[in-house]
Amino acid sequence: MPTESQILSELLAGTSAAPYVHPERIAPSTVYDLQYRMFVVAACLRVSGKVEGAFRKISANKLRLLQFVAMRPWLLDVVREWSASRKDRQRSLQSSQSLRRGFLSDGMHDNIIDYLVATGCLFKQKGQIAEPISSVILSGLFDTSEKDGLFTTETDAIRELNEIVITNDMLEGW
Amino acid sequence: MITLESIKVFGKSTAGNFSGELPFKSGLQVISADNAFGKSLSVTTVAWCLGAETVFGLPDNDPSCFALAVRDEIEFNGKLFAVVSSSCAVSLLHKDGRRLRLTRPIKGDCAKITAEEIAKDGAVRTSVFSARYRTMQDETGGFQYFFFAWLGWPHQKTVTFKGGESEIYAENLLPLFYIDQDEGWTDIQSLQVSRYGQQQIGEFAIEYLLGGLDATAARVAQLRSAQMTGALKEKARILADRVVVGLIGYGWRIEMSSFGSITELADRWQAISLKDILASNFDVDLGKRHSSLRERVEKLRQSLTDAPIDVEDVSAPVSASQRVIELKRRRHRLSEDASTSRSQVEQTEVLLESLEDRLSAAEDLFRLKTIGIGRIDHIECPTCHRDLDPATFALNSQSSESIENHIEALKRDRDLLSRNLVSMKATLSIIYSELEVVSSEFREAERALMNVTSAVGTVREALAQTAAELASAERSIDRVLEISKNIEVWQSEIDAWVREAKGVTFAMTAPSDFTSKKLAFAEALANYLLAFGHSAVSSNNLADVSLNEQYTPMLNQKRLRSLGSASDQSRLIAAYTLALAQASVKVDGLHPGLVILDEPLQQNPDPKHRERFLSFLSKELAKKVPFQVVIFTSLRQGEITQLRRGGVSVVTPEGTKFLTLDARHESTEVPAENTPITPQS
Repeated sequence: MPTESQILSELLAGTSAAPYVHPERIAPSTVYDLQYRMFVVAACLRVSGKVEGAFRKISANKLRLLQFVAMRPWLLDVVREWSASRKDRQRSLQSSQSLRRGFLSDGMHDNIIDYLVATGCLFKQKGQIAEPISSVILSGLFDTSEKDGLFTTETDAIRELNEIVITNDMLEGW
Repeated sequence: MITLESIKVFGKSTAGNFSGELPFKSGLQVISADNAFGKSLSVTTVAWCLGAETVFGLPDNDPSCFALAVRDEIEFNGKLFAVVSSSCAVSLLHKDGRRLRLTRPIKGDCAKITAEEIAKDGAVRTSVFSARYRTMQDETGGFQYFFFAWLGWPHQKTVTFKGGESEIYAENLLPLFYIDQDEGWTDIQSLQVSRYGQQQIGEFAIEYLLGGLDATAARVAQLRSAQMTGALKEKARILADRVVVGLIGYGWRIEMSSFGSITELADRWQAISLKDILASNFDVDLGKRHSSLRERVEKLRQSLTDAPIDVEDVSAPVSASQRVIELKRRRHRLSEDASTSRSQVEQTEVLLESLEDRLSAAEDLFRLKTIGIGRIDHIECPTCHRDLDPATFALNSQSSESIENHIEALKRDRDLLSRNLVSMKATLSIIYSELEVVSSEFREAERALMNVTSAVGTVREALAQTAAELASAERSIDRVLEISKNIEVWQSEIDAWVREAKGVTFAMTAPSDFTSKKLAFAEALANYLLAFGHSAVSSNNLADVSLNEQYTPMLNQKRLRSLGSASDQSRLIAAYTLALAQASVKVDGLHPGLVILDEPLQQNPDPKHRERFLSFLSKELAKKVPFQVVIFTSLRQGEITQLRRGGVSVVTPEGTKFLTLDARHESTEVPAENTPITPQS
């Protein structure tokens, strides 16, 4: 099956244009890779999730924020500022404006969660996302990656986020 | 060339005097004795008497390379006796007939080596040398200085990592003809002493023993040249940074790169004239500016002192006020520019940080994809057990090629952004420096305005303004002078650097005659590897054995390692050591013509390894070596018989221990100068 760039090249070749493709310029960001997103979800669950019975659970809204910031650690300062201003409605609204717009409209996260739920790796339970302790797919991905020193920036960012107070008000809006 | 004639260890214990001696002959000989006989003790004696204990990683004059039997307690007939004193000696025969007996205490004053030179006519001359202290530098008391002279070895300088010079010492050459049991078989030149900080000492030692003194000289020149080039490049970088930052401080940004070779840089910098650059790029001529300021100062001084003043002229307060307003506007504009630039720098820094994070994520993901950890190729629906295609959820897994491309793009963006950041920071520095100048002028103008407005009458107003202008012009002159002085200093530093760079003589290439010596070494190595039965070498690929720039054995341009068998390593080291001696004989090198191999079998019970080694010893290549090879090992009776039948000299010392109590319990430890020497042929 021809790729988009090949189709485009063929179309252009029919004209007098000389197609010249920089493959690196059309390569998508790693943020759109399934495995990367699965690792980030696994890391959020492992670092911030709480074990309850046979499941490791995390609030769905918190997971949405954590995974978004874990992939963009430079936003940690924004979250800190937002947390510090949480008692001041006006300041809180101003400081979180751009961040909230970003993570609330993160459609790919919904797709990832749906996919992991469909595969039985995760369950949705009353506003919580739960991973069966017995499941090895996500925990195996996290353990082996951590052992090999992969994605330390993301894991460190989640650990730093754990130190920041994030309230339900902040996550669920006003 | 020398021959080791004997090794002797002797001393005094509470049980009485003890001693042990092993005689040797020229050519190949195997000394076979049981474990714990004292073979290693006698082998250690050679390094000790040559003052080369540093090959064992010991400090100077530290005899702990010896067994406790000669340092502390010695066992006779199952009982332990304290050692009162002990010494050891080696006897060497030079090919021209001269002899040398070296004696060094083990327990006692072990910082001294006694050397007895015995001329062909039997005349003996005894000298005592310092074993380690200034051993090569002290022409009268240093042992190695004497020993090199006795051997006819020239002194050769090497280059240290600190940029200084150091000699090649005996301990640098010993690892190429002395392989000890503990460490010697772990790698080629594993006993090499690197703590002196000599650069490429392994290569120097090989070239020296092959007689390639011009090659070692060329290597010294190359290393010096490399060090000098590195130092010059670093100096150029620091100088360029200082000049660029200094000029930015005055508001002028110039390009002055320190990239390129020293020659290119010297050519480029030779054309640099900071005055010309300022004139062409910024229309700045400091000389003219200075002259015009001086003229202005003269005029202002004249108008202040004796020029007539127009009493009707009321323009002084207006003009002073106008200047303040103009400067205030300029300062405000520059502040705004600085604020914008600062904000750009901050945003770019955040962006660069985000790029670094994204790059790190992409590189980790690439590793994840390539090593395959946790890769989920097949996930099925838990209910219907059908494959779940991620595309159904608008998801996809990227290929490693795609991620590689993304990494490439991120790296390009990062480089671009880094360059932009440097440029932005330079712009910000220029704005700040301009802001500083304008702020200073603004403060002066404010003070001038205050003076003018406080003055009573037009005459005083005019005088106050003229005085303020005069002070300002004089300060401008000071500033121009300071800039001119700095530019002159920088220019002279650039010129000095160019002169230094042009004066450097760059390294010559290795002389061509060494190539033949190296080829002889490689050829001998191939033959010995084949004879030893190295798994990777056969008669079909002998021509593919070579030595790289570091004299590492190569096969088909790949490093020759132990392929089929772990014991290939000891075969490789033995072949390398013997091949070097063989090649040195062929090319008339400086090898001492003595090779000592302590336990080449490595007490390895592997029958194939023993068989290959014994097979090697029975070959003509081993039996007819044109130098002395002494192998210390422990052979079985059948192996000894087999070797002797094959014409190999196998010596099996009598008794179970090398050191035994002397027959009469009286001192045999006579002073070295009185010890009788029995020449052995």
